[in-house]
Amino acid sequence: MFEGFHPFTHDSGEAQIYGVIGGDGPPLLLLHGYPQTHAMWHKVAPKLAESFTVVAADLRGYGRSSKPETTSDHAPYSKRAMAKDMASLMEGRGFLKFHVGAHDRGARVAHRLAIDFSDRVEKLAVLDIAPTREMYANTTDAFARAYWHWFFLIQKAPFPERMIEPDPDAYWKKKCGSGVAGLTPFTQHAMNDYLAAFRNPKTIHASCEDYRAAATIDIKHDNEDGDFKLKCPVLALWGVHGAIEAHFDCLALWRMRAREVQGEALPAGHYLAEELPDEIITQFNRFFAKD
Amino acid sequence: MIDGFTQQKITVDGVTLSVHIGGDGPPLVLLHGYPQNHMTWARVAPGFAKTHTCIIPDLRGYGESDAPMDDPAHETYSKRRMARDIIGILDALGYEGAAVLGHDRGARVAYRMALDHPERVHKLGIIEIVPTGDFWADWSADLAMKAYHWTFLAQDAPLPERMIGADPVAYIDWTLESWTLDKSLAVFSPDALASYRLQAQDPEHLHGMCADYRAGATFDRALDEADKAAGRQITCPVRFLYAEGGFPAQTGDPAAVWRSWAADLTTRSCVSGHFAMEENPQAVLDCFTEFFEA
Repeated sequence: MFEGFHPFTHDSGEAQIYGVIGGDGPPLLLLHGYPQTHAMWHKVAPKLAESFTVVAADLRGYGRSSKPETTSDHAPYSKRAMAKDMASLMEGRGFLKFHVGAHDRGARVAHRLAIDFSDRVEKLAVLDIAPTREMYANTTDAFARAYWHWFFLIQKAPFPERMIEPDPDAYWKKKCGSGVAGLTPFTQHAMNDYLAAFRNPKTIHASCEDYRAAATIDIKHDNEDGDFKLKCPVLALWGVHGAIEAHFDCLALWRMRAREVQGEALPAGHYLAEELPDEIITQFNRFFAKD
Repeated sequence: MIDGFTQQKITVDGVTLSVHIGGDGPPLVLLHGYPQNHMTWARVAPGFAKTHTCIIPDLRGYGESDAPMDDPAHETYSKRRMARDIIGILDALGYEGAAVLGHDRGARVAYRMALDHPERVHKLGIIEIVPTGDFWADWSADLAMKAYHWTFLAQDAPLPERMIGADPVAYIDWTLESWTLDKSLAVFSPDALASYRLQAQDPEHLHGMCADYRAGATFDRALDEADKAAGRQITCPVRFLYAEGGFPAQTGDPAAVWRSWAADLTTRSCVSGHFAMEENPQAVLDCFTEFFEA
């Protein structure tokens, strides 16, 4: 995976962030989701590296990045704190302006990054999410059943942690294999990386904290922004077989939070970059190309 | 065991059910909820037994009753099927009808029994629920966080079974504790707590209890919605008791929801968490002694 890329670790001041960097051209930061790692980009990163300097990083709490101690208000796993890591990481590579392509939890971090560092994020592509606050506000019974983990993982520590820890592989495979594609989107190499990370009880705890923050402090931060809309162009892509398509009007919700939104549903489930890598390469190359 | 009660095993449609019986007078059926069994009634049953013959089953999947394998449509653990179990118990004991009081899942069985077998239910007491269809219809992010177990337990087998089964005592303790007013296991008697922990350690019962919620998310809900659309009503008198720190108190106007199902409704509330019979037994006794003896 990631041939020609170089691994590095960046000290953000609050966390040690692991990433890989490769390619040439304008900088493009790629952020993964739950319960994955930067490895989810391995099918698209080498091709994107022909046109961009690609940086794929593990979010704090995930993969090979460090897992800072949490606090009772979940601030260390707020999207604000996670976004600050990434601004610092890109600055450390010499990039004060960059594009971001992100999936799932990483896309929530990317959304916050584009708000808090609006002068740095030039374009934002989000895969298979609608904005957090708007998703909670529009939660129905059907969505709560499809995304049951949103409501399970936020239960008070250490309850969900203790239930996942005894058999993290079974949980991971059920959670990620429940889409129409089953476990077929995941190569053995990538899956090894995900499972190795997820077997660490600290990853399980940190990822629960990611969700607890989303249900509390992240929404507080969103509310402080009021009706603020991102100025940078936003590309929203989602899977036609996933929960976003089934339960939300994705583009309408993004248009509540951004001025310039384009996007569409693609013929896939949740794991777009692993189910439709060629399509994601095409979409990213087109969207992030110089205007 | 409940003081002064005797246990019988009664087989209905091939499923053997445990029933505790005690007291004297007209029959009163007491139906427990999740993740409990007949022991949840131990503090109030002797009081009711002064004026009633109390019939206290373990629902299928719970306590000392059988826990059959579920079917893909979840009919096996539907409230319709569980209500037929209770009708079978009344038949076996020779009772034409009875007053029925249910808590939590048992209250869902009780109102289904009143809808499906109106001639057998003379009075209906409901503790701590609104009907399944109405509860789902009112779902929001806030409710989804508080009642997360409705979506978790309803996930396909065997994921919840495996996750709970890895440390069933920790799961049961956390669940019970988090639904009490004091956030403490101290409200449960040692015998009752031991019985709740024990049933969760048996894989068949663990499966049965999850299947109860799978039925709630599918079969039971569809039945409620069809009944609502058809304008079907509960015809007997209904008394609804909710706890100030429980689930229905957090869902808008629970009494109005019940009024849409039952014209003859009275509503009371009490200071308690979800487990009113164990947290505030006197309030439960007062509320329903008055109702059943009127």
